[in-house]
Amino acid sequence: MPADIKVEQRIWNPSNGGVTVLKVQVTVEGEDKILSMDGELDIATVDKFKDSVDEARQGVKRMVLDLAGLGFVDSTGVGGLLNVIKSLKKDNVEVKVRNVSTEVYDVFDLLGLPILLGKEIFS
Amino acid sequence: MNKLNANLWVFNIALFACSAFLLYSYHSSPEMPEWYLVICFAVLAVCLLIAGTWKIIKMWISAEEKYMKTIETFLVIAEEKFPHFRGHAERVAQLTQMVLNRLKLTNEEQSAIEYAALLHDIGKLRMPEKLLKNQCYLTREEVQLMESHPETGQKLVGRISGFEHVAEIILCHHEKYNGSGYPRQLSEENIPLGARVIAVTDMFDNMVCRHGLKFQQACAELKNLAGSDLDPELVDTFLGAIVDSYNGGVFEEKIWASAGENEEQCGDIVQQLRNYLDKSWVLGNLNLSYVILYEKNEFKSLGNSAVPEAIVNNFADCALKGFKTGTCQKEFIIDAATGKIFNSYFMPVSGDSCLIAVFDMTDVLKSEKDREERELLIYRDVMLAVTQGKLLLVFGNEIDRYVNEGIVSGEMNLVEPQDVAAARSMIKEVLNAYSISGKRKTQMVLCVSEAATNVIKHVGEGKIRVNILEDAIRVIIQDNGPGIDISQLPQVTLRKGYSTKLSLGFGFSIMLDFLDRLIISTQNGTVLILDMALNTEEESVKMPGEEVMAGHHAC
Repeated sequence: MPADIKVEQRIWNPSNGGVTVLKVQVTVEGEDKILSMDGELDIATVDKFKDSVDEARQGVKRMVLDLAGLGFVDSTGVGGLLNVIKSLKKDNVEVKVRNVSTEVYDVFDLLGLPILLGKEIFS
Repeated sequence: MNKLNANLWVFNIALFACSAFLLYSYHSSPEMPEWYLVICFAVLAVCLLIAGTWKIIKMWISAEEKYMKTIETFLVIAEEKFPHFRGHAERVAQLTQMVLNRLKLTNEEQSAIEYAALLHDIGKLRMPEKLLKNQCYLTREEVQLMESHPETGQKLVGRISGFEHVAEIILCHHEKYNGSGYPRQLSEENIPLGARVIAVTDMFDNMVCRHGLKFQQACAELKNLAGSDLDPELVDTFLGAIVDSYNGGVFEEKIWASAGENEEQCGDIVQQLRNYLDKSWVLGNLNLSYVILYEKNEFKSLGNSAVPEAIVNNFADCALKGFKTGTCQKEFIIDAATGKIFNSYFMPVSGDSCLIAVFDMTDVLKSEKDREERELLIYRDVMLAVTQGKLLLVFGNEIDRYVNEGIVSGEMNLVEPQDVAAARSMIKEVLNAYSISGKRKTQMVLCVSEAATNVIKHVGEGKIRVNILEDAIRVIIQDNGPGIDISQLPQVTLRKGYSTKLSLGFGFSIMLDFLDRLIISTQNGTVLILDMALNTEEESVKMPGEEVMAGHHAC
């Protein structure tokens, strides 16, 4: 272990930080609905994401998921995304995913999301 | 040695007696010239010397022969026990002789190699029987044990004086020409000539007699191995010799006669079934202990031995009443005093009598447990091998060693979904103190998120801890849940994005991809250990005492 690093033994308190936050903003561009996500998508926020989509999906032909503000996603988040997109497609809603950061796309790729959904969905 | 001494003693007395007699005869007829006496004396002395020495040598040789015979007898017994060994030593010796006849060697050298060929697998005598029978699936420990047979052979044969060179050849017969063999990783000319010859003939015999290759296939395979496993020049010499004898018809008639007999025996269906029954671990451990006649509320043993009270008292009333309806009953009995477990069958004979057969199941259950443990060990080896040493399953207390290693730098409980984010913050803070690339940090954070989520999702409660090791950061995630179904692991490890069900698959493929090492213990709750190496990006975590299992093992 490098000498300049001090390791103190202590019990981590969840209040020290690290509360998952996800903000979902819905805007309309012509006939499209844009869902802009800001924050982290994991077990604590995946339900909020699903609810937001359910609220916004009524009568929509095209839905765009803008992930520019998405800083973190894990397999639970990817699972949530996959289920939501599949269910939208089933209702003949066209789905596009845009502004995916490299880090987030790496996780998508590792879990085979582009193969499962088709690469054309990511613009 | 005592015998040798005794012999020398007798020889000395004889010499002494002779010289005394000659001196006496010279004394009684003084007209004889002195040189006559000297010559007589010298001739007699030489004769006696030769006779005495010869006797000693003969004894010495016969002692050697006795030891050799003993070893050869053992070899034959071993070959009898294990069908695929049958005749192997003799065939290898004959093939070796064919090669040696084409090389210019001294008689001494040639006979040493021939002996070594005959005795090359002698070390297998010390291997446990079950190891020699189960050739397909060996654990790492068993492979190590098997690979010690050249050394064992060397020790056995090395005891015979004058056989030091033979022993050396035996020690080296699994060395490979390119230095990848065992036990000493010798290469090329460093491997004794005899061992290089035997490597070729041993391989050829295994291909033909054990793996069932046709003559031409085996020759082609040998050519493929020339230069890597085998000495290319000797392969050429061997192929030259064997092709000549094949064309001359010697090959099949003489050398393969014994192998042919084997095939016929194995073709016999009854023999096959018998072999199968012999191998059955259930039947091997199942013992019929007692047969009892139950009549008029009394138990009468039908065998020689009396039935212990403990068993009779344990027969449940329901079983004893049940048979009266005409149906067979079955019951387990555990004798607390001896710790034995019995399985008893109640077969109705008439309305109020039944036969009870009591089987001792103790050994069956024990061997079932041993078998399960063995399978787990094999499973562990396979997982370790297919993940290139990344995924280690540990059993029992082994996990404590990994949990307690290093200095604790953070710990928290996992209770609610928000704690997953807190766990991510914790590992982020620890990682920030080290010079690891941003990408690697992100990957570790993701892995922690996956492991913590598994606890919240599947168990509901657990704890997470970060330990700093000398060369790695270790995250330990523990819970008291039902455990991970490790039978899912192969799919997860072998198929990326194994994702039909959003459970285990996702998180594990991420962890296996990004971490340097993943350790799982899943008995009495789950412990999952995530290791990320600290020093360099490429360097993986040092694995104490764990090496990836050796590959296919040819004997």
